[in-house]
Amino acid sequence: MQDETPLTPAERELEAALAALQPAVPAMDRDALMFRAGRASARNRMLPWRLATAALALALTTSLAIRPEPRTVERIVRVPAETPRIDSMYALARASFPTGETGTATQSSYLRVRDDVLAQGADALPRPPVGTVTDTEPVPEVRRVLDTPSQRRWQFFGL
Amino acid sequence: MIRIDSRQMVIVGLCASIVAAMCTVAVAEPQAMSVVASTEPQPAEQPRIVTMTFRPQAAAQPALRYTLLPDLLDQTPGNALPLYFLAIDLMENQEGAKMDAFGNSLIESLKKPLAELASSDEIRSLLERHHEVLAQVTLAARRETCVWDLPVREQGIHMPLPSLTRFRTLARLVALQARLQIAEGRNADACRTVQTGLAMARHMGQGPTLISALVAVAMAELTLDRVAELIQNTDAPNLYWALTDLPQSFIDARTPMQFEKSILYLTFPQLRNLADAALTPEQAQALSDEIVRILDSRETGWNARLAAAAVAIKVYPIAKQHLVSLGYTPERMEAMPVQQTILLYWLDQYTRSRDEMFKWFSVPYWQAAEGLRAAEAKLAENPDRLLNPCIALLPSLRKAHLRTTMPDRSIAALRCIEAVRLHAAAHDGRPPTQLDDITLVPIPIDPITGAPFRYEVNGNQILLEGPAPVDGSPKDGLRYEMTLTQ
Repeated sequence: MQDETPLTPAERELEAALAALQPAVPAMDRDALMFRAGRASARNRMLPWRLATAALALALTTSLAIRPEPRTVERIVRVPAETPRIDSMYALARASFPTGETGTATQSSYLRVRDDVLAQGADALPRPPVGTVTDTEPVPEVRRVLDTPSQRRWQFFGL
Repeated sequence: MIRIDSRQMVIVGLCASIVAAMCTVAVAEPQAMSVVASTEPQPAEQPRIVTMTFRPQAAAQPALRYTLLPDLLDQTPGNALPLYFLAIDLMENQEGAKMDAFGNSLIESLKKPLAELASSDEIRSLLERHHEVLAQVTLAARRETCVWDLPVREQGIHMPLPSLTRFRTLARLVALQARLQIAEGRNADACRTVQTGLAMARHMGQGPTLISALVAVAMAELTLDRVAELIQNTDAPNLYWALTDLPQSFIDARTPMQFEKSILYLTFPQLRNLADAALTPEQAQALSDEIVRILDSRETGWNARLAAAAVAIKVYPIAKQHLVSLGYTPERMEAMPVQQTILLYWLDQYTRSRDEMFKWFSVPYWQAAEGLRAAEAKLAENPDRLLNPCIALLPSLRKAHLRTTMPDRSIAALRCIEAVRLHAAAHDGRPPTQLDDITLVPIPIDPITGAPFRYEVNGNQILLEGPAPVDGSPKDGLRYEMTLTQ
């Protein structure tokens, strides 16, 4: 139930003074405050993960840097005892220059095929393109080509 | 409920990746590969081994009753080549898009045991399907000549080649026919088919290029393997004199070698009179660029031109000095464009190196091998060859000579085997203890080594061997492991 007792003059004066007061502008926006509070709580949650990541990264770097001496595995590769191919190494002079514009490859295919067949045998011959004949028509025989209606007429007469 | 936002997801994922990487590093044992090159023969690189079982057999009567090339009386005038192309056309029409599969099926069929062929309806059906192809090839093989008529002089190295692979397919079809005839005991028919195969090989060898000669070698070897099968048949004739009647150099590579020797001048005719030509610097440069482009370079851009300039700077003083030593006067040298000087130097270098090798091709392989080896080694050691694009034209003459001599080795070995059959037939079925014991017929030497074939006998087991040439591949060796039965 409300207190109906009238205010004393001193209380009325205090009331007026308080009513005249303006609320001070807060140093921090509320919304900003709530955001920062939330972020702070998340940072706290992330901190262990960050520490863990840093520690693992450091451990990985250390393990890569400090590797034991590699165990040598010997693998025997058998190579044919052949006289090295003698060919011009004119390209050796070209190799010292940086790659630039290139034209089309023009080295003779005869030389390539010849040297491949010499080195590897006739199996190194290039394979011909697959024939374009898709239906197996017989090669026309001369007799069939000439078997026109007029020809048949002459045959009727035994000619 | 635990909520994980996107940033946490990223961090968690990163942690997991690092853990996985660490696990991988921990598990993977550090290894270093040390590669040791060894020239010991691999199991696959053994000499070619032929296993045979045969019976004694006296010489045929009359002596040349059987021949392995068409006789003059069986030959017809004309050029064989159009008939070969007709046979290829028929074959391609028959097989269409399955041509490759057909070729592979032939290769597989040639590996099957003879007994399996005799009972194979599939093989008979295949041969029947191609009976017209075989008919045309049989006719072609009996033509007197095979004129390839390719534009060698007009085009040189740019000359297109016909599909030699198809000729090999034809040869395999003929070989399969021979195998079936051998499997069925039809020795006379098989002899006639062998004639077709060997004549085809000789015709191929009359082509103008080294490539066609090498294909001819493969075709000849394919057919000579059929001879080895034929002489194992019961009542198989003795083919000693038929083999002896074959040409001494079965694949005559003289024409292809002429092409290889002349290839630079066939391709660049303007080089023939270069010494007397009054070229402008631009003409000389253009000619040099063309030679480099065709023979060695894959690039035509600015870096190739830079390289050419660098080479010219290095080579020109050497070239000038060399030409002066050949008798060119200083005045003539001063008037000559730089690139023409270099070209003349290249030509001289190339010609000397070429002739040092080609001169050996007229000598039997077993006498030429060392000379060829020395010539190739000398060229390889010469640093000046590095800057001469014409050197790319030189094939490995030693290999070419070896390959083209291989059919002669096979023929010589088969002659030895037939000589053993002759000797056994005259000595109660007993083989000779050594080849020198055979007096009925001459025994050929191995044309690869110039020495007799290695011959060993142990009871009825006989070994005949021609070793691989020195510093050649083991698979260039030839060994016959034979059993002599009664």
